[in-house]
Amino acid sequence: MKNIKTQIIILSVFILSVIAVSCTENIDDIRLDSTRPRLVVEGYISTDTTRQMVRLSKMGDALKKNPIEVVSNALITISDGTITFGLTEDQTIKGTYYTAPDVFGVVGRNYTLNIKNVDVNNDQVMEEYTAQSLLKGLNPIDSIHVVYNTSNNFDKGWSVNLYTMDPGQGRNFYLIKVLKNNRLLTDSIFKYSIGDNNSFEGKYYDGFPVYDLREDRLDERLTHGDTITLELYGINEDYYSFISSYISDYNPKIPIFSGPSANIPSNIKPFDDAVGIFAAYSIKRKSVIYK
Amino acid sequence: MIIKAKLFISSLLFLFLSLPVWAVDDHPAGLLTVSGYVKDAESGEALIGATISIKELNTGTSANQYGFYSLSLKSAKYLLEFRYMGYQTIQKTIELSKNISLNIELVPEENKIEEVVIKADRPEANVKKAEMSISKLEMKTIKQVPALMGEVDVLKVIQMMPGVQSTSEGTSGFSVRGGGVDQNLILLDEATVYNASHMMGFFSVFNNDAVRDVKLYKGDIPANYGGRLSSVLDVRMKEGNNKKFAATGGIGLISSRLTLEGPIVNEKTSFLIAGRRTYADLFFPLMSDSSLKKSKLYFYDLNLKVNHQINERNRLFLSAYTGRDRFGQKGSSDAGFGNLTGTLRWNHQISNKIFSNLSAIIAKYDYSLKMKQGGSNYVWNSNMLDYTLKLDFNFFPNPQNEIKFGLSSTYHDFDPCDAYIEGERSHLGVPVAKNYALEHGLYISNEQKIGEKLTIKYGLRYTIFQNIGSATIYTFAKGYPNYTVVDTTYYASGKIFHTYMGLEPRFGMNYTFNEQSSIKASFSRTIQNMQLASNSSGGMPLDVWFPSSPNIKPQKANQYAIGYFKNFANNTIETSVETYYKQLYDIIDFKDNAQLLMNPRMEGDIRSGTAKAYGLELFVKKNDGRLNGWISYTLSKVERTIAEINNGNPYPASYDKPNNINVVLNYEFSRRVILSSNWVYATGAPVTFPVGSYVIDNTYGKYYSARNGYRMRDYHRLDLSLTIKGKEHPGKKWESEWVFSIYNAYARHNDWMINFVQDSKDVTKVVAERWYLPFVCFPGITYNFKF
Repeated sequence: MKNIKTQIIILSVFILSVIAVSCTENIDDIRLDSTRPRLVVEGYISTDTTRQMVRLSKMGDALKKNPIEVVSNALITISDGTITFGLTEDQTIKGTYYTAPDVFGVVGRNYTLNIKNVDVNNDQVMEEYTAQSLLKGLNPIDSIHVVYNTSNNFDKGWSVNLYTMDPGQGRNFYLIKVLKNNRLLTDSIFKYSIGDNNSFEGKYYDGFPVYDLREDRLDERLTHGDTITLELYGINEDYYSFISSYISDYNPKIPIFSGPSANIPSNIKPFDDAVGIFAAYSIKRKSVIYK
Repeated sequence: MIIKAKLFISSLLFLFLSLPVWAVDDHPAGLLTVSGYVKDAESGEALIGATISIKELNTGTSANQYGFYSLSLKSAKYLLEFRYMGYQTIQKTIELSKNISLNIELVPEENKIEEVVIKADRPEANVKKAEMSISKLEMKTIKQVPALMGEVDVLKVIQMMPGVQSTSEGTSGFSVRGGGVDQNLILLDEATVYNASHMMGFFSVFNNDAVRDVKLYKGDIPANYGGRLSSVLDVRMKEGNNKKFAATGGIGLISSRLTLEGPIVNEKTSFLIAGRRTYADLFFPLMSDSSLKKSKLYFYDLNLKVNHQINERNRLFLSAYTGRDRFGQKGSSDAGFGNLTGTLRWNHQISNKIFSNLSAIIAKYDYSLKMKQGGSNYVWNSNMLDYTLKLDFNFFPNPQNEIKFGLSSTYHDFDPCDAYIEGERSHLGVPVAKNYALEHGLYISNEQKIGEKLTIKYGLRYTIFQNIGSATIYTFAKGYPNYTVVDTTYYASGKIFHTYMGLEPRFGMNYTFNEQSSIKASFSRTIQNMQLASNSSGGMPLDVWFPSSPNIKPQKANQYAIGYFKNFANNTIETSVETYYKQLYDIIDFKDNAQLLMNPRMEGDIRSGTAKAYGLELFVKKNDGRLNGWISYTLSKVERTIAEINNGNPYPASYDKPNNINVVLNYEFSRRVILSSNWVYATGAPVTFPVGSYVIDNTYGKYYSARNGYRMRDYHRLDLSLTIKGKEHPGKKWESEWVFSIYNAYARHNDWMINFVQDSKDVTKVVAERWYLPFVCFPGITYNFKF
């Protein structure tokens, strides 16, 4: 978990110095080709007992000149090979499909998403899409601490420190989300914090800082009595690569630091006809009142 | 291959063992030798490549990298002519009845012509020499080219040569004939400079006041060089004035520099010390902004050279360079990177015909970063270190042949990444293991004159590359898009666990039609075992080098080139047309979304394939007159094909810019006032743009075109400078000049990068943003002096 964080932090020293010396202007006349329609999938199954969700839409033009087109009337199932859950479309939020509210994923099982009855390319032939995701486990969070620090001017604030044992048995990947007074602060992918257990395999995270709350951001600023909740997700490598690439792609490309732009990896098949992610994961939570 | 290698090694061994015989038998077949050094009359500096012609025989030779020449001739009377660009030609009559040692000192043209000196035709070396695809730059020329912030830069001038492309605005990185930035071997006094950049590439590590000679081999790479596919940039430091004490310096907008040189023992031992430092950070404490007050941003260079002439046949040189960039904020971040090189050389004239050089070289590049965040100090160190021992011989058996042979051996020590949190070092350990390798090279070549018009060059280099333990090597199962580790092998310390060997033939010829025109052709095969973990368009401080290994084959290239060279107007106007075709094999690139930093399994993110590059280069240069300068035009294409990138379809390399024009013009209004300009034009660089979009969890995602399927706008820029020299008086020692410059004079906003971002006003929309460097109509002023 430290490695990716260290990398991002240290790269930022260089990147900030370059951004500081560059100027920007909008380009109004850029001409971009369009590509054929593809299915966009966002689907999750977690260890929480809840309505598991899948969202479907169509890929739009590069500059999002037109509103997102959702995909309705799909037939969707999630199966662990033994039990199959059906999903039904929400009648108020079209393109969003839910299981029944009592569904939960089980650690160690490999889940398969199946999507039928969609015609994304409008050729009057119905298509089928599938994806698989292994649900990896986590150890409980022993505790979290919120610590104020004043390391420098632009990130003065609080770090949320984690106490837990890595499950070991190979590479493990983590996603961290944070809530303040039950309001999700990490409400977009680019705000996620991710990491792996490189050098920590089977070891204890003894107060390891996993998320930073900045004092200069109103929604992150803490006052005494605030409740901070840390959600620790045990994710698999596919989802980790997806988030990591998504964040990289979201950030500006700087010639001397960036390789060629590339599509964000997806686990939805057929690979050439769909983008997005189907992720199975486990969740552990811990809250603390800031004093 | 093994049989060829054995034959090659046996031949070289035979040559080495024969040396004592040649040394004793100095004049076989009744030949006598005239040999010596060609030097600058004012400073005692060796004049590399000075030509020595024998008028009676219409043949000659040239001085080697240490200014040494040797001619073996029959006993007779000869008229020798010594010439070097920018110097007055000297003719000497010799009566060769025994071996003669003849050292010559040439006087710079701007100084008074003395009685023994005649004003002759300009040298026509570009026509007569067998070498082609070479850009040789005089320091005087480099200093005249307008520069960003007035900081004259060798690498920025190199980028204006035909066949050379800048990889991105402002950077020191360059591409030669379709090669990557990693395929250039940059040498400073024989030591490899792994990162030639300061301040993210806006400046290079070379302090012009300390540099004597710059030569770029773009294709016809001599056999004594190896290790990179596309080019060799050979930069030689000055030796230090051995006749008088001299100082050179300059005060600029962002930096100042000072070079001191002089004799320690008159005409025997000399020294040079040169320093340069930027000083923007010295003003930060005076700023009102609290962040700036705590900021740190500077770089420095230090060059040192001492040379000592033990006797007529032995000389010692010690040269060293260190330079470093530092930036960060006091109390929160501290980053630094830099090179360290050192070379100890022993020139030994074994006989009048055999010259040898033994070099011991050290080269180091490292970076270190520290940042405080969340109460923790994140630390990241990386370095690579080379130790090289190199032995070279020049053998001049007769005026028709010049044989070079030698060997070198380098020990590479790579420490790609040592990252930890301070105080928790035992927790994090070493995430990316160290690497070790040995790289050996043996070579032999001959430049042979056949008759008066034809010269051929042929050579062979044999490379051995060995991976040494301790090492951890992963075995990958190849899948798409990812490779998976299926096995891990550990090798003990000191064990050679993998070896690559390769032969690199080199060939060149020159047919001279007359004094003013010639046709040249060359073929070279090059092998590269050192790889750069970077997929950015230019070099960056965090670049990590790594060796070929069981997973990564050496890169190879074959280059074919042919050119026509023609001079006009008494050699004052040089023109050339060259065309080349280059095939590259086992070139490396990186899979989509590769993780190159802090990745112990990085080799699993590397993909290899082939590339081809071809082009046409036109060059016109006017050397003399009030109006002088050059125009170059390059038409080129470079395309890569790698099975697992871009669906296996060919794609243009990120530095593929088909049309490239450089115009450098200087106009001398008087001896004191010179207006210089350069105009650069290049087709826009290839880029990958989005052709579709989607949103997941409130975040904009992009779907991209084929790799490098689009191009940025064409790039062009005009820079100007005006040099005003101080008045000259007889006996005046202090010479000075003011240089006023404007970078990007017509203020074009050239595309540096184009980003697609969520509109800050309407998050449902996306806007395309052009990022450009703020150097628009950017002024510079420098005061230079010497005494």
